[in-house]
Amino acid sequence: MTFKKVLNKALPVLATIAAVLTFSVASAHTGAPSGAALLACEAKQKSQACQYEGAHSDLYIGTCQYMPDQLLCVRNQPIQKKVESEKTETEEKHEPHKK
Amino acid sequence: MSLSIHKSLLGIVTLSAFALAGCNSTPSDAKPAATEVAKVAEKVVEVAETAVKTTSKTVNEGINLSMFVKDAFTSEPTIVDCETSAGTATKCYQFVTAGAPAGREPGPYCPRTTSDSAEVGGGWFSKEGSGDLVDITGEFILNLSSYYDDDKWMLYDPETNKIRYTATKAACLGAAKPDVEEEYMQNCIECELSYLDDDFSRTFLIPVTPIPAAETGRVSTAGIALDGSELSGSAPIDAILGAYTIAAFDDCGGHVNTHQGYHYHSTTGCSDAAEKSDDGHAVLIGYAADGYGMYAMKDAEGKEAIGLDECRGQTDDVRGYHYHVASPSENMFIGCLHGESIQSGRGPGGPPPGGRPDGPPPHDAG
Repeated sequence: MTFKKVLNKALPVLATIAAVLTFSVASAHTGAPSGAALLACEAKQKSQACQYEGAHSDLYIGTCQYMPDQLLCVRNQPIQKKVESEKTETEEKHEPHKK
Repeated sequence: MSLSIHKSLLGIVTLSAFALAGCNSTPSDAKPAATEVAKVAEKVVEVAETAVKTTSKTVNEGINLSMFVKDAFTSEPTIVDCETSAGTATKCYQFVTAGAPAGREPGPYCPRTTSDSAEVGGGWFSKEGSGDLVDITGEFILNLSSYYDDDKWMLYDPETNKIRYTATKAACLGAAKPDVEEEYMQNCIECELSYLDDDFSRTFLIPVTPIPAAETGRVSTAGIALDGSELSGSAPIDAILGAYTIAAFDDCGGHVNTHQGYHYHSTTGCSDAAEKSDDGHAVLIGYAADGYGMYAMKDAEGKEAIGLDECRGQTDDVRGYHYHVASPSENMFIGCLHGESIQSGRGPGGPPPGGRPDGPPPHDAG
Protein backbone atom coordinates (compact mmCIF):
# COMPACT_ATOMS: atom_id res chain seq x y z
CA MET A 1 0.00 0.00 0.00
CA THR A 2 1.46 3.36 -0.99
CA PHE A 3 1.90 6.25 1.43
CA LYS A 4 -0.80 8.15 -0.46
CA LYS A 5 -3.35 5.37 0.08
CA VAL A 6 -2.53 5.15 3.80
CA LEU A 7 -2.92 8.89 4.07
CA ASN A 8 -6.27 8.81 2.28
CA LYS A 9 -7.58 6.23 4.73
CA ALA A 10 -6.11 7.78 7.85
CA LEU A 11 -7.06 11.36 7.11
CA PRO A 12 -10.83 11.03 7.62
CA VAL A 13 -10.24 9.12 10.86
CA LEU A 14 -7.83 11.76 12.13
CA ALA A 15 -10.22 14.52 11.11
CA THR A 16 -13.05 12.85 13.02
CA ILE A 17 -10.89 12.44 16.14
CA ALA A 18 -9.80 16.07 15.90
CA ALA A 19 -13.40 17.23 15.53
CA VAL A 20 -14.53 15.16 18.52
CA LEU A 21 -11.65 16.45 20.65
CA THR A 22 -12.35 20.03 19.63
CA PHE A 23 -16.02 19.66 20.45
CA SER A 24 -15.20 18.03 23.78
CA VAL A 25 -12.92 20.85 24.84
CA ALA A 26 -15.24 23.53 23.54
CA SER A 27 -18.26 22.07 25.28
CA ALA A 28 -16.38 22.04 28.58
CA HIS A 29 -16.16 25.80 28.31
CA THR A 30 -19.84 26.24 28.96
CA GLY A 31 -20.54 27.00 32.56
CA ALA A 32 -17.14 28.63 33.11
CA PRO A 33 -17.20 30.89 36.15
CA SER A 34 -16.67 34.04 34.18
CA GLY A 35 -18.91 32.90 31.33
CA ALA A 36 -21.81 35.16 32.22
CA ALA A 37 -19.51 38.13 32.75
CA LEU A 38 -17.93 37.46 29.36
CA LEU A 39 -21.25 37.07 27.57
CA ALA A 40 -22.47 40.33 29.08
CA CYS A 41 -19.76 42.18 27.16
CA GLU A 42 -20.14 40.43 23.82
CA ALA A 43 -20.37 43.01 21.04
CA LYS A 44 -19.68 45.79 23.52
CA GLN A 45 -16.80 48.17 23.96
CA LYS A 46 -14.66 49.11 26.93
CA SER A 47 -16.52 51.13 29.57
CA GLN A 48 -19.96 50.32 28.18
CA ALA A 49 -22.58 49.41 30.77
CA CYS A 50 -23.26 45.71 31.30
CA GLN A 51 -25.08 43.37 33.64
CA TYR A 52 -25.53 39.65 34.21
CA GLU A 53 -27.17 37.22 36.58
CA GLY A 54 -24.95 35.52 39.15
CA ALA A 55 -25.75 32.94 41.81
CA HIS A 56 -29.40 32.82 42.92
CA SER A 57 -30.21 35.09 39.96
CA ASP A 58 -28.63 38.00 41.79
CA LEU A 59 -27.94 40.90 39.48
CA TYR A 60 -24.38 42.05 38.77
CA ILE A 61 -24.17 45.52 37.24
CA GLY A 62 -21.02 47.21 35.98
CA THR A 63 -19.02 48.15 32.91
CA CYS A 64 -16.99 46.18 30.38
CA GLN A 65 -13.25 46.12 31.06
CA TYR A 66 -10.31 44.25 29.56
CA MET A 67 -9.16 41.45 31.90
CA PRO A 68 -6.52 41.58 30.48
CA ASP A 69 -7.35 40.75 26.86
CA GLN A 70 -11.01 39.80 26.98
CA LEU A 71 -13.81 42.20 27.76
CA LEU A 72 -15.46 41.16 30.99
CA CYS A 73 -18.33 42.73 32.86
CA VAL A 74 -16.75 44.25 35.97
CA ARG A 75 -19.32 44.85 38.66
CA ASN A 76 -19.08 48.26 40.29
CA GLN A 77 -22.41 48.29 42.09
CA PRO A 78 -23.33 46.23 45.14
CA ILE A 79 -24.78 42.83 44.25
CA GLN A 80 -28.52 43.28 43.69
CA LYS A 81 -29.97 40.45 45.76
CA LYS A 82 -32.92 38.53 44.44
CA VAL A 83 -35.77 38.52 46.91
CA GLU A 84 -35.03 35.66 49.34
CA SER A 85 -38.47 34.13 49.00
CA GLU A 86 -37.91 33.62 45.28
CA LYS A 87 -35.11 31.15 46.00
CA THR A 88 -36.32 27.74 44.98
CA GLU A 89 -35.92 24.47 46.79
CA THR A 90 -34.08 23.05 43.77
CA GLU A 91 -31.42 25.73 44.02
CA GLU A 92 -30.78 24.83 47.66
CA LYS A 93 -30.64 21.11 46.93
CA HIS A 94 -28.01 21.04 44.17
CA GLU A 95 -25.77 23.75 45.43
CA PRO A 96 -22.28 22.83 46.68
CA HIS A 97 -21.39 24.22 50.04
CA LYS A 98 -19.96 27.72 49.90
CA LYS A 99 -17.35 29.03 52.24
CA MET B 1 4.70 64.30 58.44
CA SER B 2 2.05 62.51 60.45
CA LEU B 3 -1.45 63.70 61.16
CA SER B 4 -0.76 63.97 64.90
CA ILE B 5 2.23 66.26 64.29
CA HIS B 6 0.07 68.45 62.08
CA LYS B 7 -2.57 68.68 64.76
CA SER B 8 0.03 69.66 67.33
CA LEU B 9 1.35 72.34 65.01
CA LEU B 10 -2.18 73.58 64.47
CA GLY B 11 -2.55 74.04 68.22
CA ILE B 12 0.74 75.92 68.46
CA VAL B 13 -0.19 78.21 65.55
CA THR B 14 -3.56 79.00 67.13
CA LEU B 15 -2.05 79.77 70.51
CA SER B 16 0.63 81.92 68.89
CA ALA B 17 -2.00 83.89 66.99
CA PHE B 18 -3.80 84.66 70.21
CA ALA B 19 -0.61 85.58 72.01
CA LEU B 20 0.80 87.74 69.24
CA ALA B 21 -2.48 89.51 68.58
CA GLY B 22 -2.60 90.33 72.26
CA CYS B 23 0.65 92.32 72.05
CA ASN B 24 0.43 96.14 71.87
CA SER B 25 -3.17 96.21 73.00
CA THR B 26 -4.06 98.82 75.56
CA PRO B 27 -7.05 98.88 77.92
CA SER B 28 -8.78 101.47 75.73
CA ASP B 29 -8.69 99.38 72.57
CA ALA B 30 -9.01 96.04 74.29
CA LYS B 31 -12.45 95.19 72.82
CA PRO B 32 -11.69 95.84 69.12
CA ALA B 33 -8.35 94.08 69.56
CA ALA B 34 -10.07 91.04 71.00
CA THR B 35 -12.40 90.93 67.99
CA GLU B 36 -9.43 91.19 65.65
CA VAL B 37 -7.68 88.43 67.56
CA ALA B 38 -10.69 86.16 67.19
CA LYS B 39 -10.86 86.85 63.44
CA VAL B 40 -7.17 86.23 62.93
CA ALA B 41 -7.29 83.05 64.99
CA GLU B 42 -10.33 81.86 63.07
CA LYS B 43 -8.54 82.44 59.79
CA VAL B 44 -5.40 80.71 60.99
CA VAL B 45 -7.38 77.70 62.17
CA GLU B 46 -9.24 77.54 58.86
CA VAL B 47 -6.03 77.64 56.80
CA ALA B 48 -4.27 75.17 59.06
CA GLU B 49 -7.20 72.75 59.02
CA THR B 50 -7.24 72.83 55.23
CA ALA B 51 -3.51 72.12 55.27
CA VAL B 52 -4.02 69.19 57.63
CA LYS B 53 -6.78 67.75 55.46
CA THR B 54 -4.71 68.12 52.32
CA THR B 55 -1.62 66.64 53.92
CA SER B 56 -3.43 63.75 55.59
CA LYS B 57 -4.99 62.81 52.26
CA THR B 58 -1.55 62.65 50.70
CA VAL B 59 -0.15 60.68 53.63
CA ASN B 60 -2.83 58.01 53.49
CA GLU B 61 -2.92 57.63 49.73
CA GLY B 62 -0.27 55.19 48.60
CA ILE B 63 1.71 52.50 50.34
CA ASN B 64 2.15 52.39 54.11
CA LEU B 65 4.99 49.93 54.68
CA SER B 66 3.95 49.33 58.28
CA MET B 67 0.78 47.62 57.06
CA PHE B 68 2.67 44.65 55.62
CA VAL B 69 2.95 41.48 57.66
CA LYS B 70 6.27 40.70 59.34
CA ASP B 71 8.55 38.73 56.99
CA ALA B 72 6.44 39.60 53.94
CA PHE B 73 9.71 40.45 52.18
CA THR B 74 13.05 38.69 52.03
CA SER B 75 14.89 42.02 52.25
CA GLU B 76 13.99 45.51 53.38
CA PRO B 77 11.95 47.33 50.73
CA THR B 78 14.03 49.90 48.88
CA ILE B 79 13.16 52.92 46.77
CA VAL B 80 14.52 52.82 43.23
CA ASP B 81 14.19 54.87 40.06
CA CYS B 82 11.56 53.43 37.75
CA GLU B 83 9.50 54.32 34.72
CA THR B 84 5.81 53.62 34.32
CA SER B 85 4.38 51.98 31.24
CA ALA B 86 3.13 55.45 30.29
CA GLY B 87 6.72 56.67 30.28
CA THR B 88 6.66 58.66 33.53
CA ALA B 89 9.96 58.61 35.41
CA THR B 90 9.27 58.22 39.10
CA LYS B 91 10.35 56.48 42.30
CA CYS B 92 9.17 52.97 43.09
CA TYR B 93 9.20 50.70 46.07
CA GLN B 94 11.07 47.54 45.22
CA PHE B 95 9.65 44.59 47.11
CA VAL B 96 11.40 41.23 46.97
CA THR B 97 9.50 38.20 48.22
CA ALA B 98 10.07 34.46 48.46
CA GLY B 99 6.81 33.70 46.67
CA ALA B 100 5.15 32.43 49.84
CA PRO B 101 2.57 34.03 52.13
CA ALA B 102 4.22 35.34 55.30
CA GLY B 103 2.97 33.88 58.54
CA ARG B 104 1.19 30.77 57.33
CA GLU B 105 1.58 27.51 55.43
CA PRO B 106 -0.61 27.51 52.33
CA GLY B 107 -2.99 24.63 51.54
CA PRO B 108 -4.68 22.22 51.64
CA TYR B 109 -5.99 22.15 48.08
CA CYS B 110 -7.28 18.84 46.71
CA PRO B 111 -9.14 16.25 48.77
CA ARG B 112 -7.77 12.72 48.53
CA THR B 113 -10.92 10.61 48.44
CA THR B 114 -14.52 11.19 47.42
CA SER B 115 -15.59 10.96 51.06
CA ASP B 116 -13.25 13.72 52.29
CA SER B 117 -14.82 16.70 54.01
CA ALA B 118 -14.24 20.41 53.48
CA GLU B 119 -11.39 20.42 56.00
CA VAL B 120 -9.26 18.25 53.70
CA GLY B 121 -9.74 20.35 50.56
CA GLY B 122 -9.67 24.01 49.61
CA GLY B 123 -11.95 26.09 47.42
CA TRP B 124 -12.81 26.85 43.82
CA PHE B 125 -14.79 29.44 41.88
CA SER B 126 -18.52 28.87 41.85
CA LYS B 127 -19.78 28.07 38.38
CA GLU B 128 -21.88 31.22 38.37
CA GLY B 129 -18.71 33.28 38.77
CA SER B 130 -20.11 35.13 41.72
CA GLY B 131 -20.30 35.07 45.48
CA ASP B 132 -18.13 32.93 47.74
CA LEU B 133 -15.82 30.11 46.69
CA VAL B 134 -17.28 26.62 46.85
CA ASP B 135 -15.67 23.98 49.06
CA ILE B 136 -13.71 21.32 47.20
CA THR B 137 -14.99 18.33 49.12
CA GLY B 138 -14.88 14.72 47.99
CA GLU B 139 -18.54 15.09 47.12
CA PHE B 140 -17.83 18.15 44.99
CA ILE B 141 -15.29 16.15 42.97
CA LEU B 142 -17.76 13.27 42.75
CA ASN B 143 -20.46 15.54 41.36
CA LEU B 144 -18.43 17.59 38.90
CA SER B 145 -20.29 16.09 35.94
CA SER B 146 -23.60 17.37 37.17
CA TYR B 147 -22.11 20.62 38.49
CA TYR B 148 -20.72 21.53 35.08
CA ASP B 149 -23.38 19.59 33.18
CA ASP B 150 -20.73 17.60 31.33
CA ASP B 151 -20.46 13.81 31.62
CA LYS B 152 -16.77 13.76 30.78
CA TRP B 153 -15.65 14.97 34.20
CA MET B 154 -13.95 12.13 36.10
CA LEU B 155 -11.35 13.30 38.59
CA TYR B 156 -11.52 10.14 40.67
CA ASP B 157 -11.04 6.42 40.32
CA PRO B 158 -14.53 4.89 40.62
CA GLU B 159 -13.10 1.63 41.94
CA THR B 160 -11.01 3.07 44.74
CA ASN B 161 -12.77 6.44 45.14
CA LYS B 162 -9.34 8.04 45.23
CA ILE B 163 -9.11 11.48 43.71
CA ARG B 164 -6.57 12.07 40.96
CA TYR B 165 -4.34 14.99 41.85
CA THR B 166 -0.93 16.26 40.79
CA ALA B 167 1.17 14.56 43.44
CA THR B 168 4.64 15.30 42.07
CA LYS B 169 6.61 18.27 40.82
CA ALA B 170 6.54 16.83 37.28
CA ALA B 171 2.77 16.59 37.44
CA CYS B 172 2.52 20.13 38.78
CA LEU B 173 4.70 21.44 35.94
CA GLY B 174 2.69 19.53 33.36
CA ALA B 175 -0.66 20.64 34.68
CA ALA B 176 -0.28 24.14 36.14
CA LYS B 177 -0.22 25.92 32.80
CA PRO B 178 -2.88 26.94 30.27
CA ASP B 179 -1.92 24.18 27.81
CA VAL B 180 -2.33 21.31 30.26
CA GLU B 181 -0.43 18.23 29.11
CA GLU B 182 -2.77 15.45 28.09
CA GLU B 183 -1.62 13.01 30.76
CA TYR B 184 -2.57 15.52 33.45
CA MET B 185 -6.09 16.20 32.24
CA GLN B 186 -8.80 14.95 34.59
CA ASN B 187 -6.77 15.98 37.63
CA CYS B 188 -7.22 18.19 40.62
CA ILE B 189 -4.14 20.43 40.36
CA GLU B 190 -2.03 21.35 43.34
CA CYS B 191 1.59 22.43 43.62
CA GLU B 192 3.75 22.70 46.69
CA LEU B 193 6.06 25.54 47.66
CA SER B 194 8.88 22.99 47.80
CA TYR B 195 8.66 22.73 43.99
CA LEU B 196 9.97 26.28 43.65
CA ASP B 197 13.63 26.71 42.72
CA ASP B 198 15.96 27.23 45.67
CA ASP B 199 16.73 30.77 44.55
CA PHE B 200 13.12 31.59 43.65
CA SER B 201 12.11 35.17 44.35
CA ARG B 202 9.58 37.70 43.14
CA THR B 203 10.30 41.39 42.67
CA PHE B 204 7.52 43.95 42.65
CA LEU B 205 8.00 47.56 41.57
CA ILE B 206 5.20 49.87 42.67
CA PRO B 207 5.17 53.69 42.48
CA VAL B 208 5.85 55.30 45.86
CA THR B 209 3.43 58.08 45.00
CA PRO B 210 0.47 56.93 42.89
CA ILE B 211 0.19 58.77 39.59
CA PRO B 212 -3.37 59.08 38.21
CA ALA B 213 -3.28 57.79 34.64
CA ALA B 214 -4.64 59.67 31.65
CA GLU B 215 -6.48 56.45 30.74
CA THR B 216 -7.25 53.52 32.98
CA GLY B 217 -4.94 50.54 32.53
CA ARG B 218 -5.62 46.85 32.07
CA VAL B 219 -5.04 44.56 35.02
CA SER B 220 -2.60 41.73 34.38
CA THR B 221 -1.37 41.52 37.96
CA ALA B 222 -3.60 43.34 40.40
CA GLY B 223 -1.03 44.01 43.11
CA ILE B 224 0.57 42.68 46.25
CA ALA B 225 -1.16 41.38 49.38
CA LEU B 226 -0.10 42.43 52.86
CA ASP B 227 1.53 39.03 53.35
CA GLY B 228 3.79 39.62 50.31
CA SER B 229 1.89 37.30 47.95
CA GLU B 230 0.83 38.39 44.49
CA LEU B 231 -2.76 39.48 43.99
CA SER B 232 -3.01 37.90 40.59
CA GLY B 233 -4.97 38.80 37.49
CA SER B 234 -7.91 36.69 36.33
CA ALA B 235 -7.33 32.94 36.15
CA PRO B 236 -7.66 31.35 32.66
CA ILE B 237 -10.80 29.48 33.61
CA ASP B 238 -11.66 28.30 30.10
CA ALA B 239 -8.28 26.59 29.70
CA ILE B 240 -8.47 25.03 33.16
CA LEU B 241 -11.97 23.63 32.84
CA GLY B 242 -11.43 22.82 29.17
CA ALA B 243 -8.73 20.35 30.24
CA TYR B 244 -11.04 18.87 32.87
CA THR B 245 -8.90 20.14 35.69
CA ILE B 246 -9.58 22.13 38.82
CA ALA B 247 -6.71 24.46 39.78
CA ALA B 248 -7.63 24.17 43.44
CA PHE B 249 -7.18 27.11 45.80
CA ASP B 250 -6.62 26.80 49.50
CA ASP B 251 -9.26 28.29 51.77
CA CYS B 252 -7.52 31.65 51.43
CA GLY B 253 -8.18 31.79 47.67
CA GLY B 254 -4.61 31.21 46.51
CA HIS B 255 -2.43 28.50 45.04
CA VAL B 256 1.12 27.86 43.84
CA ASN B 257 2.73 27.61 40.44
CA THR B 258 6.44 27.51 39.77
CA HIS B 259 6.49 30.89 38.01
CA GLN B 260 4.55 33.03 40.43
CA GLY B 261 4.97 31.10 43.64
CA TYR B 262 1.95 31.36 45.91
CA HIS B 263 -0.55 33.89 44.56
CA TYR B 264 -4.13 34.85 45.22
CA HIS B 265 -7.03 34.76 42.77
CA SER B 266 -9.58 35.77 45.36
CA THR B 267 -9.62 37.09 48.86
CA THR B 268 -11.41 35.35 51.68
CA GLY B 269 -9.99 37.32 54.61
CA CYS B 270 -6.53 35.75 55.02
CA SER B 271 -4.71 38.86 53.86
CA ASP B 272 -6.88 41.32 55.77
CA ALA B 273 -5.00 43.93 57.80
CA ALA B 274 -5.06 43.20 61.52
CA GLU B 275 -5.78 46.85 62.17
CA LYS B 276 -9.43 47.80 61.70
CA SER B 277 -10.41 51.25 60.58
CA ASP B 278 -11.91 53.66 63.15
CA ASP B 279 -14.62 54.71 60.73
CA GLY B 280 -15.88 51.20 60.00
CA HIS B 281 -14.38 51.22 56.51
CA ALA B 282 -13.48 47.88 54.92
CA VAL B 283 -10.04 46.58 55.91
CA LEU B 284 -6.93 46.93 53.79
CA ILE B 285 -5.86 43.71 52.04
CA GLY B 286 -2.94 44.95 49.95
CA TYR B 287 -1.80 47.47 47.38
CA ALA B 288 -2.54 47.62 43.68
CA ALA B 289 0.14 47.69 41.00
CA ASP B 290 -0.34 51.45 40.72
CA GLY B 291 0.25 52.01 44.44
CA TYR B 292 -3.31 52.68 45.54
CA GLY B 293 -4.72 50.74 48.49
CA MET B 294 -6.91 47.69 47.95
CA TYR B 295 -9.63 47.15 50.53
CA ALA B 296 -12.01 44.29 51.25
CA MET B 297 -15.36 44.21 49.50
CA LYS B 298 -17.45 44.84 52.60
CA ASP B 299 -17.19 47.28 55.49
CA ALA B 300 -17.46 46.49 59.19
CA GLU B 301 -21.26 46.30 58.87
CA GLY B 302 -21.06 43.87 55.96
CA LYS B 303 -22.10 46.46 53.42
CA GLU B 304 -20.54 46.98 50.02
CA ALA B 305 -19.17 50.36 48.99
CA ILE B 306 -21.40 52.41 46.74
CA GLY B 307 -20.32 54.84 44.05
CA LEU B 308 -17.38 52.78 42.80
CA ASP B 309 -15.90 53.79 39.45
CA GLU B 310 -15.32 51.31 36.63
CA CYS B 311 -12.04 50.16 38.21
CA ARG B 312 -13.91 49.44 41.48
CA GLY B 313 -12.30 52.48 43.07
CA GLN B 314 -13.43 55.59 44.90
CA THR B 315 -11.99 58.52 46.82
CA ASP B 316 -12.54 59.55 50.41
CA ASP B 317 -10.89 62.06 52.74
CA VAL B 318 -9.08 59.44 54.80
CA ARG B 319 -7.68 57.04 52.21
CA GLY B 320 -7.67 59.17 49.07
CA TYR B 321 -8.25 57.07 45.97
CA HIS B 322 -8.54 53.35 46.77
CA TYR B 323 -10.11 50.15 45.47
CA HIS B 324 -12.61 47.64 46.85
CA VAL B 325 -12.09 44.06 45.67
CA ALA B 326 -14.81 41.95 44.08
CA SER B 327 -16.37 38.84 45.63
CA PRO B 328 -14.23 35.65 45.81
CA SER B 329 -15.77 33.86 42.82
CA GLU B 330 -15.77 36.83 40.44
CA ASN B 331 -12.25 35.89 39.26
CA MET B 332 -10.91 39.41 39.66
CA PHE B 333 -9.90 41.82 42.36
CA ILE B 334 -10.37 45.12 40.58
CA GLY B 335 -11.63 46.17 37.16
CA CYS B 336 -8.80 48.34 35.90
CA LEU B 337 -5.89 50.46 37.10
CA HIS B 338 -6.67 54.07 37.94
CA GLY B 339 -3.00 54.96 38.12
CA GLU B 340 0.15 54.36 36.14
CA SER B 341 1.97 51.13 36.84
CA ILE B 342 5.21 49.39 35.99
CA GLN B 343 3.75 46.64 33.87
CA SER B 344 6.17 44.34 32.16
CA GLY B 345 4.28 41.14 31.57
CA ARG B 346 4.77 40.25 35.21
CA GLY B 347 2.55 42.93 36.54
CA PRO B 348 4.17 45.08 39.16
CA GLY B 349 7.17 42.83 39.10
CA GLY B 350 8.95 44.81 36.45
CA PRO B 351 12.63 44.18 36.05
CA PRO B 352 14.60 45.85 38.79
CA PRO B 353 17.77 47.72 38.01
CA GLY B 354 20.32 45.13 37.03
CA GLY B 355 17.95 42.68 35.44
CA ARG B 356 15.07 40.35 36.07
CA PRO B 357 15.68 37.85 38.82
CA ASP B 358 12.62 35.75 38.49
CA GLY B 359 12.68 33.96 35.21
CA PRO B 360 10.34 33.77 32.26
CA PRO B 361 6.84 35.17 32.05
CA PRO B 362 4.23 33.27 34.00
CA HIS B 363 2.13 30.51 32.58
CA ASP B 364 -0.44 30.53 35.25
CA ALA B 365 -2.98 27.79 35.29
CA GLY B 366 -5.04 29.82 37.59
